[in-house]
Amino acid sequence: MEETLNPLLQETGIPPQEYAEIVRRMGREPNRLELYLFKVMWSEHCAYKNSRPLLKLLPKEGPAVLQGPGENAGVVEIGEGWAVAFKIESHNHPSAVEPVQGAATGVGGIIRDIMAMGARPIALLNSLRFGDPQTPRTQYLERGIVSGIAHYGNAIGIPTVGGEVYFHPDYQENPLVNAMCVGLLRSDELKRSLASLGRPVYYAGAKTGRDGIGGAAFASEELTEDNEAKRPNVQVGDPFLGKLLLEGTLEAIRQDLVEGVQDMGAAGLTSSLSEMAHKSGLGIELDLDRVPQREAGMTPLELMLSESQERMVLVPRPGKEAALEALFARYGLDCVAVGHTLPQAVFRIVAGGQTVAEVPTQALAEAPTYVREGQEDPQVQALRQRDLSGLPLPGDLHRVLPRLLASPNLCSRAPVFERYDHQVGTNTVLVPGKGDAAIVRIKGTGRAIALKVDANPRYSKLAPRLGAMHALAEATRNVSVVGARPLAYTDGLNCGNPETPEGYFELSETVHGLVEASRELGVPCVSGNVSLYNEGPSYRIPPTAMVGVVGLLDNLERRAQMGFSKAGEFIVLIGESWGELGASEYLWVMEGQEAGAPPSLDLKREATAQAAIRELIAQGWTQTAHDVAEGGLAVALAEMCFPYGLGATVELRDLGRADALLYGEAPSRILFSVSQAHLQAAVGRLEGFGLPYRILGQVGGEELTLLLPKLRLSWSVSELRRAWATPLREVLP
Amino acid sequence: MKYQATILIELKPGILDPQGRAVEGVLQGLGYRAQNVRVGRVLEMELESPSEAEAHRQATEMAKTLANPVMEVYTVEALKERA
Amino acid sequence: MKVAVIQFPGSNCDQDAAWALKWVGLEAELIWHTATHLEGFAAVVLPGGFSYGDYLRAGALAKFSPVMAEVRRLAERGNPVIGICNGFQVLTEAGLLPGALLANTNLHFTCKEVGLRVERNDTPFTQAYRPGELLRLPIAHGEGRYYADPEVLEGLEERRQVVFRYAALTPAASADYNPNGSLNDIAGIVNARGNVLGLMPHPERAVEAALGTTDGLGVFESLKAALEVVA
Repeated sequence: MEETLNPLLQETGIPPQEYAEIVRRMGREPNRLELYLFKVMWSEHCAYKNSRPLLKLLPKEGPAVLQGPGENAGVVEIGEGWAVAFKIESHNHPSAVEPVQGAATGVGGIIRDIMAMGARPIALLNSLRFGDPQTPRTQYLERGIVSGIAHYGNAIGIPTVGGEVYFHPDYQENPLVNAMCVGLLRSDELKRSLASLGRPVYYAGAKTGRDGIGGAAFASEELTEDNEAKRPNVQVGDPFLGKLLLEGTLEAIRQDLVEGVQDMGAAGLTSSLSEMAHKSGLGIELDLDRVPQREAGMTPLELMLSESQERMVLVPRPGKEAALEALFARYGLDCVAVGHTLPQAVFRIVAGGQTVAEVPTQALAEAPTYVREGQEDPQVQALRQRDLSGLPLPGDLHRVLPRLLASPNLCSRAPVFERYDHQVGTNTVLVPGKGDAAIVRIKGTGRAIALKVDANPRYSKLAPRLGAMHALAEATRNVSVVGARPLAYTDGLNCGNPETPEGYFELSETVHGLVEASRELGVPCVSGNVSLYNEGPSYRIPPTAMVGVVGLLDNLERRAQMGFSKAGEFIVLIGESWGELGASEYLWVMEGQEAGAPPSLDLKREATAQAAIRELIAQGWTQTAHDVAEGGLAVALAEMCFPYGLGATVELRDLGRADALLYGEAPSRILFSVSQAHLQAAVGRLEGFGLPYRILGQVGGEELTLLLPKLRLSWSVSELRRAWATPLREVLP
Repeated sequence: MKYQATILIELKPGILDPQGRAVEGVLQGLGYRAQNVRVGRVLEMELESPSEAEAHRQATEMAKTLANPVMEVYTVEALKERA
Repeated sequence: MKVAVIQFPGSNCDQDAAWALKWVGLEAELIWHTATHLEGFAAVVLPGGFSYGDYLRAGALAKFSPVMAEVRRLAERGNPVIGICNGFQVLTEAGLLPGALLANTNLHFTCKEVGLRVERNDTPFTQAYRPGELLRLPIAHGEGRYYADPEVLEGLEERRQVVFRYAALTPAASADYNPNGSLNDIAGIVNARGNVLGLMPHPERAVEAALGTTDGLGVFESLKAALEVVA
């Protein structure tokens, strides 16, 4: 049997049952080029073979949704004729191989997705995961990935307004780099990846070289020693050319020269053209001789698989071909017709006047999907069920707070975000480090959008479903805490190998968690990306659902930031003052344990708490609010002292373990400060919402003082600030 | 013996060189007929070594250490004895 | 009273500069770098960004753009010319301002708020400020370390060509207020005649309270006042 195996199957790695399906759909044996088209189009990265049946379950409808999943990005309306397009995308494997260019091309790619919707990109965010921060490999990846993001984002002139960095040992071999882009468009200028019959199809931007050949297929394979040799030529990003392509494409849309736009991303010409044809219900004939080429002698296969960056597909409106060519000539960019649409639904590739491949578009676009049996990793289960009741109380509670603030996941991110231009465009109202979410205003209106990306891998490792729910709860909470109403989100799912029971279990649980949280919080998913196979022989990453939320502020003037700014204001906590130690940062930092169940989450209570803080901000009663997250109340209070160096005195009267009161974690908790004049009105509204609350104390002084039953803890704010500000500087000076 | 070594580190052939491309565009705009412009880095250093062969070995080793094997190639361009 | 904002390929603060100019009531027009005349423009802004990707050296390739001959002509005629960030780098590369801008001492791009001291207010760009006034302005650059030969530097100081210097906003910040290692804490200079200004910080990002500081407004208000006097 083995001897008769088609050598092409061995070369492409296509499983025999999928090959049989290809032959059935083609009605004949595919040639080598055709088989490679299937290989890339049926990769997990392009086809979502393992995730599509699960992703179908996500709520996608909402009053603001203009475009749900399936296009280059999701789009929501924000009023006054404006809409925002946004999406998150992973570039994990390329960044593990070459951190600078991997991260840079990740940013470039997501920007082009947003452009393809007809939107001007106005903000970037990113979500990064690294392993042990003490190891040279992590520090090398950190420096490289941060400089790659800075290199591309800064030069192309789109502000990087937010992000998050998280360290966890399970990412040691497999860092995660997810980039999110948000663009602004007029609702009536929304573009889709469509072409009508008889239209020429244009290629615009950079020339095609042998870059990243097989990248999409590569992304869907585990990194092993064996496939080291299969590593493709690194894709190099050119933000300068990217900027010209951005301006050219947007001008073409503004002048109404094009009817369809598509980014040439993963799997390059193959994916962009065959998908455009499929969505349009038509065929496309591509003439490879007309494709602008950077290197001589490229074969049809190399051209079809190249992942050269900064390329777009444009379909001109009838009679606008010459104007389109002239426009791109002004920017010094190639813009040539490389093909045309066909009435029959086939993807035909011509080279040297000969047809070298012809495949039904539907066969390529609709890959088989798999529903598998999942099973929880018993080791994870054991960790979650570990009994933590015997945990000793620390002898010295005073030294815990500075240690937590200096720990890798809680220390200041300024050394990272200072490398990103977060202000270009002059719209960033709330810059990184000043609030729980970024605020970007919309010029010419009184409106703004709030943006946040979030995920806690410790929660999702120990309880994938609950962890995913926490991710959406926290990201929406962060958006609410600056005063904005969450409209929709994009999800970046990063998981292990779905072909293993543990990997599939984690993927499936993660999606189910998002489905439930989405429904209860009333926030639909409008776009997303799946990165699977993030595992190797000795590791599997925690299931990581990076949730990027977009919210709307109707009135920019009514917003909140996180720093205490007025001495004498009262500090109020929405929620209870105790938290849980299971899966907490405290447990990890102080005890070296990652165990226990993450805190339980009441989604109705979460939605109410968010509605309440939005109302208090909209009423103008508070301008300072902050979510209580990792590290618990004490860390949250310290974070509120840092921006203006103003202290606070707080009394925690509840009974319970002091460590759980101070550093325990629980969702749906929000701290805010309010003047005496508005205190009664504010707590009256909280009572109206039926929410528990505590008036904890007052802002003032240069110290943070926490009074517990029989215990008084006090730190100078500047001393805490120093502990918090320095650790990441040592890696990113 | 003292040697003067010159090491050239450049992008692998076939890897896109955005910098070279931008420089080429400007040179052509100024009327020069430059093509395939590529930008690399030159490192110059003084080396203490008992022999020329050993100096060359050291220079090659350093070049290998400094170049990014994923994207770059290196050559020891010149090696000469210093007075 | 029109101001030309030059767009080099790779400029990215062009729209922001135009917005700030309009904010104070000046007329601003974006001009593509291939333009060969700037008739009718009273002043020129070279905006921030990464002209030609900052490849080779920041600002090094933009100096060859056709429009630069016209910028030079206006500068020589005495019209106000402002180079912000990358624009400052272009002005030094083009020889319209002395010195050079080298990689920051920390060797990476830095985006944050810094303190600046206004050294003189007798220029078309600073009349709205008091001498010695402390400003809070954002910076966002990787190559902003001002460097010049000792003689050039001495000449600059003698002729009072330094207009803005990095300065500590609070006594606590007195150790690390200079964000890039610029010689003599130089953040902005004018030419000998005083009509060409180059500065690394971004005044156009600091004209509205919603964006955190309005300390950059003075640059544009001063320019407007100067242009009105000429008119």
